[in-house]
Amino acid sequence: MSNNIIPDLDNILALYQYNKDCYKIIKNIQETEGDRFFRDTELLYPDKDKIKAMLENIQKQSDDYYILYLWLTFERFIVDFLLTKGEKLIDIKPEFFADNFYCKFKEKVERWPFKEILDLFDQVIDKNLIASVKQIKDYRDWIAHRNINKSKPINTDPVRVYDTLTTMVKQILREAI
Amino acid sequence: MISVTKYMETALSSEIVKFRRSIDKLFEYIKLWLSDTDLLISEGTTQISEADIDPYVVPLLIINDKDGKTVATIRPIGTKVTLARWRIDIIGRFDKEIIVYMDKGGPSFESRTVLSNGEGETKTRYFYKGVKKGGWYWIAERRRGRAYIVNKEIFFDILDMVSDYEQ
Repeated sequence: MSNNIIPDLDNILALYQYNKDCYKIIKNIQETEGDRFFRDTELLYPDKDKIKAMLENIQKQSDDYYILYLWLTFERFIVDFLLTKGEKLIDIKPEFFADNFYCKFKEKVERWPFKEILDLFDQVIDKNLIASVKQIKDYRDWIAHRNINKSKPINTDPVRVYDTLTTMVKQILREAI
Repeated sequence: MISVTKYMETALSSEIVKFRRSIDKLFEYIKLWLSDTDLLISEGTTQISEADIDPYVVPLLIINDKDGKTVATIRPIGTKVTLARWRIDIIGRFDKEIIVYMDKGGPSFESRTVLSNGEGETKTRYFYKGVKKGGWYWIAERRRGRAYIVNKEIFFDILDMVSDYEQ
């Protein structure tokens, strides 16, 4: 299990903020300098509004990638947490059964429906917090499946996703270790 | 007898009515804050589509400078929002900032603490400091954990951040 989960999530948020600043600087340059710096790039269009719209679209998509990145880091932490907890299965008797049992557990835990995994914490972690994490899971699925006919399940952004997931991680580290 | 579906629709509609009222109130304040500047306001509407709710229309504000260039668009986003009740985006020339409506205290969760005598105690913990009353708040990305109520000063700070507009 990663001991660096909070610094890992902090780093992703910091990257998101650098990225946001980069877009701000690019938009500023585009506004003040025109297309001078856009030659030989994919962003060179005669229409200023088209460049602006394209930048906004790219930024929206990159925000979603940061949300995915935060989610995947969180998800790995939770699965590793379960694997660590499950190590006790190796010690049960008889030994040959324990080996098979633990190997099967290790294999299957990676594929458990994630919302069911979150429900395992409902006696130690606030149910509202778990519900907020599940909303982010829905958003993560919406990004991943890109079903354009389906409305967004929730409006969110990398900062609020970070705030929710780090709070959940801190609660697990306090209550469930 | 009122069906569960009907009841849910009514509850959702009442949330949208409250959301609209709160947008109107905020927009009145914004118009007042801008009244002693050279900025011009135009009003419009935008349609919001959210999961499991019929699309609905809300007001939108566009702030232009005296040359007609857009300084910011103030666009309501919706009622289904992480860690808040409602959301509005302030979209400027270079950046976007999010403001959210939070009820008194803001989002919270219960957390257990084990006391020195071994007994457990449950405490309410809040995601953000500074949510003393219900209202529209801005959360500074670079100062984690603190929410600022949107007043005239914060509003102009946001305009400066998203569009380099200085009073």
